[in-house]
Amino acid sequence: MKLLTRRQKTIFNFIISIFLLFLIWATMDFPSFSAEHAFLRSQKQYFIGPEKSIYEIPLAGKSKLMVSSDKNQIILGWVYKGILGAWKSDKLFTYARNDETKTTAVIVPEYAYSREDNLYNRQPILVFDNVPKAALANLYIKIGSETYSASAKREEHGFFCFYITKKYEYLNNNKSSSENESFRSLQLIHNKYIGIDYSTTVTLQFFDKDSKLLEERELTLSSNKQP
Amino acid sequence: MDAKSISDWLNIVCDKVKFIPDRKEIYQELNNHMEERMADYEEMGVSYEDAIKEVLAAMGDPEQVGTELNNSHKPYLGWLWYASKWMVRIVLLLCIWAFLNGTNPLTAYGYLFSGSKDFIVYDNNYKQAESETFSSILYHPDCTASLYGYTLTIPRASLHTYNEAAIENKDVTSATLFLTLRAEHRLPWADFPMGIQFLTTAIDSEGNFYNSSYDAITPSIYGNPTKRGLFYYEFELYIPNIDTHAAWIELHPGGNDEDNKVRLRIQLK
Repeated sequence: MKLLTRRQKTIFNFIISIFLLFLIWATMDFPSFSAEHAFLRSQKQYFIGPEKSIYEIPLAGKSKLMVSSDKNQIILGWVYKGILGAWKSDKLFTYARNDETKTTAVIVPEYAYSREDNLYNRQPILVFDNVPKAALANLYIKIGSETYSASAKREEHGFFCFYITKKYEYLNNNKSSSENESFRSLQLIHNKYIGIDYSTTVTLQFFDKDSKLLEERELTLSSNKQP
Repeated sequence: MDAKSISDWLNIVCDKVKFIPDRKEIYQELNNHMEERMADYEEMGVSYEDAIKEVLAAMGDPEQVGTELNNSHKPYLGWLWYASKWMVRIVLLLCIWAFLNGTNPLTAYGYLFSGSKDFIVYDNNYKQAESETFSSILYHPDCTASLYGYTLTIPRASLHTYNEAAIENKDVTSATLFLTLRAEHRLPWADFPMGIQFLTTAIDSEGNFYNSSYDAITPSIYGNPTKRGLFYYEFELYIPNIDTHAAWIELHPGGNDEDNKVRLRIQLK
């Protein structure tokens, strides 16, 4: 005697599959189905936002750095693709925004490089707020005894993302390690580090689309905190 | 279409069934049935040829039977059933694989099935209890706050007072407040509210301010997440150097941001 019809067996199989899929999701600690969603969830974990990302910096492998902001702070969140293509958040940092009349510059901390990173030699610096309507900008920053420069185009949401290329390859020799140490010190602009201000001055030059210099200004890097 | 033999009849019926994987089963079932009837006729002394005719006549028009069978063996339902069987198998394998490779909150430390894990901070400190230099008071504060979908409560807190005057002949009294902060939620997939660990500040009745663990040069509140259930998370926090004159202390789990300013008050006196 057949206990169930084919229709009933099919429905039963689907119910079992849905239950198992939920179990898989639970086993993976309920990951998100998109990088954006993982980023929004991580903001809620720290009781901020949630604000949608306005910019993504792709990292090596399957991770991304998501950039967002609200009226008080710039939010950086690291997300990565885990097993079965599901996204999880990794870490979140916030940076105080000065106010809308002052420009804020943010150096992406070392944490971004903890996962097999292609940014190891490309240090991003983000510049927000009160940025002239320039098409291009140059950034100059003195780190240790070296002066670095980078150019960037204005992004969709009116900010600039500069990538500084490190001068020495990572070969464990003194020059590369001292360079990395200088960068690392700069990234630790954090009250937690007993008030030591590693910050440095950043010079920005803004150009219009015909490469005509519009403005030059100096500012210091914004301090970070884990929210 | 007339069938001359049983196999002819069966082939006509089966050709009408569009869901091909079922044809073999239908063929087999009808064939068995017809062979049984053939045997019955032969037992009754009917000749083989006549028995075939009788059986074919009894079974009816093969095209009509085939059409009816096709209606009850709908291809879409058949393929869906096959797909569902494969889906269960694949998902089951994935489930086993995920259990072996996932982050696995079901088995990892401090997660779902660790509900029996006891209160570490209290246990360690209770061992010192009731000496000349140490006293403790246990509280069950009746306070609730809501933040980002979490309902925050303090199931228990304990004020430990150390009076070193007895041994050092000095008037030195210090107090530490230990507490469990519980964040309940309705969704099993709600994330660990890490803000509690990093943002919680406090103020007492004497106006003393206690910084969050991640704030500044002089953090005042320390702690870690310690327990997780399907619908709650728990943190154990402690605040050393509490003002011994304070009548109450108020926790701000969302930090000092005005948007997140929720309060949990522990009445100490």
